[in-house]
Amino acid sequence: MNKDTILSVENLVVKFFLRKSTVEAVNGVSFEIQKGERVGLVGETGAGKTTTALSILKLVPNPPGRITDGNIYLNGENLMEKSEKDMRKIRGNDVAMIFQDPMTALNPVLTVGDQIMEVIRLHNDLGKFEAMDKAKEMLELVGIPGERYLDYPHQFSGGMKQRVVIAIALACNPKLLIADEPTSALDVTIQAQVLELINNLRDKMGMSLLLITHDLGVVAETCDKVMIMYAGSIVESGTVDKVYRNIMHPYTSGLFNAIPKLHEESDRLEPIKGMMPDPSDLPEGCAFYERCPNAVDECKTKKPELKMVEEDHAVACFNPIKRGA
Amino acid sequence: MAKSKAYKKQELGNSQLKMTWIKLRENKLAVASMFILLLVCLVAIFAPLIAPYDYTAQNYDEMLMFPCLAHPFGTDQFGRDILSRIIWGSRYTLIIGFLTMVVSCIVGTALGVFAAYYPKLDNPIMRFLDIFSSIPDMALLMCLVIILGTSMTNMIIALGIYYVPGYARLARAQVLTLRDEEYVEASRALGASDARILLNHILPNAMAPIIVRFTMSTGGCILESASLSFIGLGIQPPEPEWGLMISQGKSFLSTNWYYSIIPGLCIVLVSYCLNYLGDGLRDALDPRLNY
Repeated sequence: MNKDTILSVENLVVKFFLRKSTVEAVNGVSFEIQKGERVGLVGETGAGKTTTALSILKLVPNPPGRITDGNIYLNGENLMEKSEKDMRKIRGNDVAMIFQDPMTALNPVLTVGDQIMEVIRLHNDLGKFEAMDKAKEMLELVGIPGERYLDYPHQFSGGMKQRVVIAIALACNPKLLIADEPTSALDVTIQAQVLELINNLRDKMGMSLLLITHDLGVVAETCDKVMIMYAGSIVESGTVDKVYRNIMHPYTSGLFNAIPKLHEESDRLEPIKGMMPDPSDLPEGCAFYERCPNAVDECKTKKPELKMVEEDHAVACFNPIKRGA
Repeated sequence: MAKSKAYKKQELGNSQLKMTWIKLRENKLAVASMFILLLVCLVAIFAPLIAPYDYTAQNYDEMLMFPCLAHPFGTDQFGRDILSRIIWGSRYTLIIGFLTMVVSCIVGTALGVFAAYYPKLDNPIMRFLDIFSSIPDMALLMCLVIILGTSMTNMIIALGIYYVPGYARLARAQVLTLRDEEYVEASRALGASDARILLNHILPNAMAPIIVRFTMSTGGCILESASLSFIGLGIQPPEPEWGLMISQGKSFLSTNWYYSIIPGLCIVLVSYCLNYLGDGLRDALDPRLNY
């Protein structure tokens, strides 16, 4: 781990202990985020993306969820050893999170100004008026006139609400911003604006970004690095450039095939056959075995490890797709 | 400090209180109710100055007189002036009604909020409160008053205990739906403590039905205290509590209807005003109804 590593997750395992079964939501995920780096975490619904993000803040709902193994280092400090009180200081201050649905992420009975002010005053020793100034500054930063400080969330449109949510998240200059599908609830034109805003602010403030999405296009536009997640494990990771140019995991390839292409005329999209395995009953070998066109015998019994195949590109597969094949 | 002066009134906007007042003003019924309640409060405070007669003064020459100029509300079987008794009685009624509701509302809401927010406390708190709600109301109240001893304070305590489970259930139901809201999760992700989440984010959103219940049950509470007084466990005669007056007048209902009806109308008036005011307040406090 070098000095510029903001976040380092090592072998994270999160399980949900239900009455009837144990759901293995995250199975040994490891990754690092460097200072100022933008990382995309891609995967289908239920792949464990949000659980991974919540683990970083130690907010996995407990019970039933529990981080059963692994370490998370933020600026070299192990979060697993932190008390709840210390975690409260980290949340919002060092690591901030943007949630999926801006419609419900704001408290309907408080003015947006108050809500921005709240996080500022939680983490800084500022007077009311100084915090107010800062809150207005934040609003202007995300492109909302400062006078709207006194408005309530219902007086804003969806895209503006998401801007407010971003303002709240960034109010304390976090080192890492986790954006959990920040654009999924917005329409396409607003999506572009919000992404551009996140991108611009990241450039301005220099924080790192962990962007969770199922939109590969968004990742291509926004991120430096990408991690593809399937059934609680990272199956392929690397720089966006390398991964997109040289897809090696059959699952990643399946995801790309499922995107409609502008330059090809086709009546049907090509879905990945089958369903994701039940996370409470994962197969012994590769989780993608059942659906994989490239499967070999080895896949059924052994779990593939994430291995470097070239510089800045790792794949967890025994029989990856060869270039040109 | 120099900074704070830079903020002009306009920039700060209207305070919550002022905004509420502006919105409440548009609801004529609520404003009228508020003035009537204020009037009742003033009457209670200045009872000794307003009441035309001593409320205990008996006058056997003027027993059971129908309303007339000397006695606008008539007199009772001891010749006591009913108007004076109503005026003095407003003190008891207001104190019992408000104090009981305030106490049970605060205690009940707190218990309900904790029960919903901390799942481990849910069963202990709610099952304990179920004990109280499983006993018929009069039996429970009688037991409590007999155990505590007959006095106004004890009656308020007993009534308070009786109303706690209702508030607790209501608050619990509200918080159960609110605690999984995304803004609660979001503020936790921003480092807010449980206390802050409860006070800033959950309670203000849960208040609307609690306010309504508060105003709706005040009337019931006044009647409940009247029943207690009737069986001799509440306010003791000759104190002029409104509910007590209704039950005393009951036996004269066929001949002297005004004896029971007038205090009854007073209770109805106060309850109605509380309901309308509560209704108006609930709307005025909800920022979603801003325009």
